[in-house]
Amino acid sequence: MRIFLSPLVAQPLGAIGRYFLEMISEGFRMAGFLYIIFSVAWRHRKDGRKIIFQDVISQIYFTGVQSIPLVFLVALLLGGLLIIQSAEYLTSVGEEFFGTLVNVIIIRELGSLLTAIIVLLRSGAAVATEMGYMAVLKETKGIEMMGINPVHYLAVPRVIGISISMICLFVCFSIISILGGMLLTWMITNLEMTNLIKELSQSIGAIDLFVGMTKSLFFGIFVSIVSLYHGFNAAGALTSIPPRVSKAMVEGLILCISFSAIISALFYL
Amino acid sequence: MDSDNNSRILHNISMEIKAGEKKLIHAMPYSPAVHLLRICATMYPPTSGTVTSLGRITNEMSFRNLLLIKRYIGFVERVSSLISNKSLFENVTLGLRYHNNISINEARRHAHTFLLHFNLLRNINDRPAQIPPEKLRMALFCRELILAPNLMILEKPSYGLSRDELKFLMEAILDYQTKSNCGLLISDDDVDFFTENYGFFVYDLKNGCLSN
Repeated sequence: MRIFLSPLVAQPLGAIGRYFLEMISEGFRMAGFLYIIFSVAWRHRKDGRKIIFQDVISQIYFTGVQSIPLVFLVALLLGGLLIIQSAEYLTSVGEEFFGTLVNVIIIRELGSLLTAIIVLLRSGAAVATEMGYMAVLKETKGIEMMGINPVHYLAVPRVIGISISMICLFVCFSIISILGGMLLTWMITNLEMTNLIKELSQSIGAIDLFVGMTKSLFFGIFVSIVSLYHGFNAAGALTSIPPRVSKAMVEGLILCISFSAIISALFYL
Repeated sequence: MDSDNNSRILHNISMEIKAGEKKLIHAMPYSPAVHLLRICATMYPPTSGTVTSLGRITNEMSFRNLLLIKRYIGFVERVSSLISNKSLFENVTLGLRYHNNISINEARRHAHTFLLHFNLLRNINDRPAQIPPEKLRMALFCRELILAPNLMILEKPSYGLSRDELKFLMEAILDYQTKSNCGLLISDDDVDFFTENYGFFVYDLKNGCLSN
C-alpha cells in the first residue's frame, strides 16, 4: 500500500528526517573518532612521552588553572542564588533542607554541568579553533611528514588534559558554591552554622561524589572530542573555521546535557 | 596518477634515487611535479604502480608503518608552514624531541649547531608570525635536517630565497648529504643553478612523463 502525502506535509517531514539522519551519522563519525583517539593513544603509548606529558601539563594549565577565577565567580554566584531563592524555605523547614538542596542541585546536577559548559565555552572553543587553523594551513600534514601521528601529538594530550581539569574544576566548583551558599545562609538567616555543616555532611554520600566526578570525566572526554573532531575536519579556507567552532559548541552542549540526564536517570530514578 | 576527470596527470614514471644521489626534476610552473614529490614522500599512493621507499613497498602499508618510513624522509613543500602557536625552537626540535623522547634542554644542546648554522639562534623564542619569510623557509629545512633523514625531497627550494640564501641552503644540505650519504630529490625550474653549481642529474617532466 502506498501512502501519498501532500508536499506541505512531506517536505517538512523530509527535512526533519534528513536532520535526524545527519545527526545520527555525525554521532557515529564522532564515536569513530573517539575510538581512533583511544586506539592511537594505546598504540603510541611509548612514543614521545616527555613531549606529550609536557602538552598535557600545558592543557591542564590552560583549562584547569587559568579558568579557576571564572569557575570561582560562577560557583559563588550559583551558591548565593540558590540560597537567595530558597531562604524563605530554609527558615521554615530548617537545616536539613540545606543539605538536600546543596546535594541535589550542586553536587548531583549543576556542579558538573556548569563546569562542563564553562570548559566547553573556554577551552573547547580554543581547541576547535586551534585545530581548525592547523588543519586548514596544513600544519598537521607537516607533523605527519616528521613521522608523528597528528592524532597522538595533538589530540591525546588535549583529551587527557581537559578530562583531568574537568574533574578538578568540578571539585573546586562544588566546594566554592557550598562555601558561598553557607556564607550567605549565615548572613541572611538565623540558622546555626554547626547544624548546617552537620546536615551537609550527612546528606552528601560517596555515591553523589562518585556520580559527579564520573559525569565530569565523561564531560571532559565529550568536550574535547567534539572540539577536536570539528577542528580536524575544518578544510579549505580559514572561513570554514568559525562555523565549525559554532557547531562544536552546540553539539558539545547537547551532548553534555543529554548525558547528564541519562546518568541522573540511571542513578537516581 | 589520475585527476578528477580521469585524465592522467602523471604516467609511465620510473625513477630511482639511491643513497648519495642528487636528482632534479625540471618542473615548469603549474606542472604536476608536486604530486610526484608527494608520492615519493609517501604522502599519498599512486593510482597504479608501486612506490618503494627504504626497501619497502609503501602503497599498501598501514598508516602506522608509513609513519616509520616518513620519519626518514625529509620533505619540504613550497607552501609548508611551521606550527603557528609554537616557538621556532619548539617547531625545529619537535620531531627530535618526539622520536628520541628527550627533554627541552637535551634538544637545545642537540639543535644548537643547526640553529647556529642556519642563523636562527636570534629567533628561537619567536612565533612563526614574527619571523621573516626567508628565515621561516630556513627553519623548515632545518626542522627536516635535524631529524637526520635518509632521503631529502624539496619542492622548489629557490622559492622565497635570494640567490645567496639559496647557495647557503644548498651548501648546508649538500654538506649533510656528504656526511650522511642521503639521497636528494629536488623539483625546481632553475635548472642551470643546480646543474652548474652542484652537478644534479636532471629529469624533465613534460606532459606528465619523465625523461632524462
